Amino acid sequence: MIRYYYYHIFYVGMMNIMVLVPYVLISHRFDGAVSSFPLAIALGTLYSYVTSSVFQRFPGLGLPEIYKLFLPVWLANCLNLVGVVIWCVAGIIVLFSYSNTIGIFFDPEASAYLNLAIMAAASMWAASRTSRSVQFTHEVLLIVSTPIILWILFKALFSNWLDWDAIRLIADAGIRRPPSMICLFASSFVFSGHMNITLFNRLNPRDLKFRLRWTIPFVGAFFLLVSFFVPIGFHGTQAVGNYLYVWSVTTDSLQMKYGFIQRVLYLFLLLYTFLSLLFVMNTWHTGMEFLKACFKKVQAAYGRSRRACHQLVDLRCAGGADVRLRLFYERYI
Amino acid sequence: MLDKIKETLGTPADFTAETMDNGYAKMQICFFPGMCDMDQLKDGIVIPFSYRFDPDEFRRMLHTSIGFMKDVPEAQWVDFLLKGYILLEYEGEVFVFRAIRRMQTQPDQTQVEASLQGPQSAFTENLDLNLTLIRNLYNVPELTVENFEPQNQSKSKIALLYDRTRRNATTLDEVRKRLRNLDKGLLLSAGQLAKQLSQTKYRLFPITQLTERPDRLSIHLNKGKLAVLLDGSRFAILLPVHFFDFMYAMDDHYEPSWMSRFLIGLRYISMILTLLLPALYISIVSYNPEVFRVQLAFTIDGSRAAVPYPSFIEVLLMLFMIEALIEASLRLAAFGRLDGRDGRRSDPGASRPAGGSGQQHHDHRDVRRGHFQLRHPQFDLQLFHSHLEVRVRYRSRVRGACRRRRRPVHARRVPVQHA
Amino acid sequence: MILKKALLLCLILTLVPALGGCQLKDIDKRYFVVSAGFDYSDNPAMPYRVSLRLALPSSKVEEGGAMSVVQTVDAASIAEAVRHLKSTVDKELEFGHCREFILGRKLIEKDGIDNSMQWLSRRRDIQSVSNVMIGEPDAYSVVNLKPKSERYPGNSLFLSFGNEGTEAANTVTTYLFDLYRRLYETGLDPVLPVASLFGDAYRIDRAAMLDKQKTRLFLDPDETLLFNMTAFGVDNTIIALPDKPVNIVLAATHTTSKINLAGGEDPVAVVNIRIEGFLEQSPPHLLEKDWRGLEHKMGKRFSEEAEKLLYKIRDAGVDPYGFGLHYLADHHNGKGRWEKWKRLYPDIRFDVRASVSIQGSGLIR
Repeated sequence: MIRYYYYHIFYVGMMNIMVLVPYVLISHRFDGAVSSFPLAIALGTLYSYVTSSVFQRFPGLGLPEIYKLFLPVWLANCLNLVGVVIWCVAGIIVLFSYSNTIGIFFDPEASAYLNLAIMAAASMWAASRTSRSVQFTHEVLLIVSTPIILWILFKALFSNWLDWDAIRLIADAGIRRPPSMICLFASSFVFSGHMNITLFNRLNPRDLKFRLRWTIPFVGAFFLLVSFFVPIGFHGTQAVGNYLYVWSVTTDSLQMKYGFIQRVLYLFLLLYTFLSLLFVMNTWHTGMEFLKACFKKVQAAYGRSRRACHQLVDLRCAGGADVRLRLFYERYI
Repeated sequence: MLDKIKETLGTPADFTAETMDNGYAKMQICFFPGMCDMDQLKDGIVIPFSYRFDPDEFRRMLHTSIGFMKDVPEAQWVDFLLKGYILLEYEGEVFVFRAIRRMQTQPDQTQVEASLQGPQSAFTENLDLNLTLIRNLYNVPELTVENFEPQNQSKSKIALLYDRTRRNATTLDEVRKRLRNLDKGLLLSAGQLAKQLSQTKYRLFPITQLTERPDRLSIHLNKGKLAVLLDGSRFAILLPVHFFDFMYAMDDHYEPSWMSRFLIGLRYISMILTLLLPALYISIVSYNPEVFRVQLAFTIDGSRAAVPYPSFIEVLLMLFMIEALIEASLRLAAFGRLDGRDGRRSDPGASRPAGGSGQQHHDHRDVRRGHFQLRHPQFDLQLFHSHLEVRVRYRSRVRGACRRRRRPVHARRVPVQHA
Repeated sequence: MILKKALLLCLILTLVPALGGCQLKDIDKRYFVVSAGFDYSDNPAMPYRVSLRLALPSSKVEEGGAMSVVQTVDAASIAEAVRHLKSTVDKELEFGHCREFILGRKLIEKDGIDNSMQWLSRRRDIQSVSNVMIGEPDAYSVVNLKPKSERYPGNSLFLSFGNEGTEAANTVTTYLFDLYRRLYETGLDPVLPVASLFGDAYRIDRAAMLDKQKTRLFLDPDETLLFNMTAFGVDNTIIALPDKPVNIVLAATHTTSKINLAGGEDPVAVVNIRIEGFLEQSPPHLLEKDWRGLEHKMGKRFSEEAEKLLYKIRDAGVDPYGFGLHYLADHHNGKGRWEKWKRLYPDIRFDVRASVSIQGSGLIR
């Protein structure tokens, strides 16, 4: 069951490429993007560790249930509503930006709203299934798309056209700059996969151990560095700042000479359609569940016996995860 | 007794009700001759009653033989009669004698789920024989059979099978409950029963699977699933099944591992292609021709130039025609059927001998081909024809191959019974 | 129940018109542009002459069966020219399969490369891996050529690049995204292949060096070969060593090259190149006599020629190798470093370290 936890970490790492994060980081490539990476890696890992440890103490309970156990109902509901807003907005941002990308590359003549409506309808349907179904959908789509996405990333990484001098220049010059707040928040997005535990902890069995957590910094760092440096290697230190759809153009610079489709771009966009819908499905599902939790009663049998200090620490950390996400999105809306 | 029965049944022509008299004693007997096994009747009742009659022995036989049931409530007499039992009254007591005529004594041959290497025997329309088949393959004491006798108009027996150690208790209870609450109409086939069991009318993904193969059923029992058999249907219902069970052929179990993995992979890829290709064709041809390789784009461009309709009409038309032709060849076997040979020739008069023998047959085919010709020039359906032809021919070839391979069924796996 | 069904029906009916909203344009209603040429028209009001080669599709593919038409129009900008061209043809223009863009030599000399690049990079349907080249004497003549051997239109020119079809060693391959990167990069300058006509075929064996705007230097075929080997490590080349009665020729199967800067504040630009190959032309038993010596001689000769080329490129004031970028990367892109490099580059010394390794003498001694 632990694999479902890592699915989230993995796919948020991959989503990182398609959301606005590389765009934000690349526009700050000369001032403070690179130096905030180590900081983001450390902080992100720490957050993942703390959050998962905290939720491990409440097996089978999501954040809304934990709120209800320890807080007055009105406060718990308020916090739940905050969660609804955060999660749904996260989905909307991705949906909007991706339907834009799709519109540009697949069908520029069609109405943008039509695109948006179709994708929203699909996500809404998927999100309204049960948590278990959502989890399974997530697993299937991820298993289908991950190998091909990794293949594309490695193809880019080992391409002859990747200019390592440009990467070296940016990395070397950037690390000497002081880190910036925006870049820190943007680059820690890649570590926000563990946040899905706030809801999906409900499905975790009692004896779940979070093994292999040491892989989180490696996975996160890999996707973070690839998403930032590969476009720079392909488009140089200067021209990369001129592109609006950085990663789409980067994959268009690859070609599959022997593939059924020659342009990698179309394969890439197709796979990221999967991932984006997955992301929206997950976030909206979480939002919906938070909303539903406002009208549900939680049996108080659990956890009253926990020591008070534990509760305080746990609550602060669990709430902290939300606050951090909110901070990030408030900056980019 | 006879009067009471005639009250309920009326006097159907296929019903026999007699009073037999051997000079010493009298016996009232009634049965449906069409539903009873006459040999059993002769050996079990007529001979002991007539020329080997011994009153003591006959009485003893009636009271001790397991073929006879006594003390059957009056209300159920007719039910037993309708199932093929014989009802007799002797010395004021009513006995029911089981002499049901068995239509099938041999397992059927697989017709739908062909297998190259696995067993070729399939379920029959006889429930007892089916149970024998299963017991032979799944020979463990844990195999449990529960009988249900639904109160509907068909009253066919239903058997619920499961492995006692492996089944899921909640599922079992749920299935039992649903089997008890079947509706009161006619229940004619396992498919109908499966539909009633799943209860949701518009479900996209079925939760039951029909099979004619005892080996598939055994495997599922071994996995802890339940099976429902219906008397009179040569298909068993497996439940609950998930999506992957439908993509699993029994040969996967018998082939070497890599071979079966490859075949399963092949199946999934084909499924994805079947689902996606029409849509992909439209989207690529009409929106993003740059996805194709240049050669392919130019070739398709050249061939599309002659088609007067937009791509989606083309695809819809194609899908409709293929489905219609398959439907015609599959279910409407006697009428309007197209087989590979008929569909292939575009010129009906070209390569056939004129007149002479087999004229009637030719006429018949002419009509069918002419029927087909009417549509043909309208659309460029050449491609679809060849496609269909390949499918149909492939299917008949596979079937032929299976048929050729079959061994006589009784030569295989007949358990030796020790006295 | 009936109400529910009616509502569902209404919902479906409202969704149906949306289905028609996607702008459907069938493949047979599109013209595939297979190559595009941009020229300077000598008319100041409408300086851009755009020639597009449109493929006429046929379902048969055969040698010499490629059909195409060339349309030309003058306009004030490339985008307007393409717009005008649309009104002269009966189908929608589709650039998705256009992978050859030819810039006329005169256009680059008069107008520079930037305006054309703006249009090329902005269009979403133009592939980033399109080949860009200079057409000589003009782009129109290159676009207009229809080689007899073409199986489908535009194929011949396309196959000339990369290692797609022929593996000609003196064809420089420049993709659109690479050209765009070099246009903006500090310390890395664009280079473009030059395509001209050679009877009924294309001849793409020269390269043009550009600064950020105009052409500065044209290389002849031999120099292009050297440039290709030193800058891109192109395989399948040859090295000739003059000898009597006939040259000794090494067919290089594998080449790797790497640039470096040695010597701190007064750098020397070092090009390390390693060439492996077989002798294709040599007197009998030559290799057995002095294997090492021959390798050394070839390496020395190669280094001399390559250094000559490097000095020539340096004196033209362009840097297609990216020495400047390498310098900046070495010095953390510090303040004033770029200005310093601009002072250093005109006087920089080159050192080509070629190591030739002969794998054998072919099938005979």
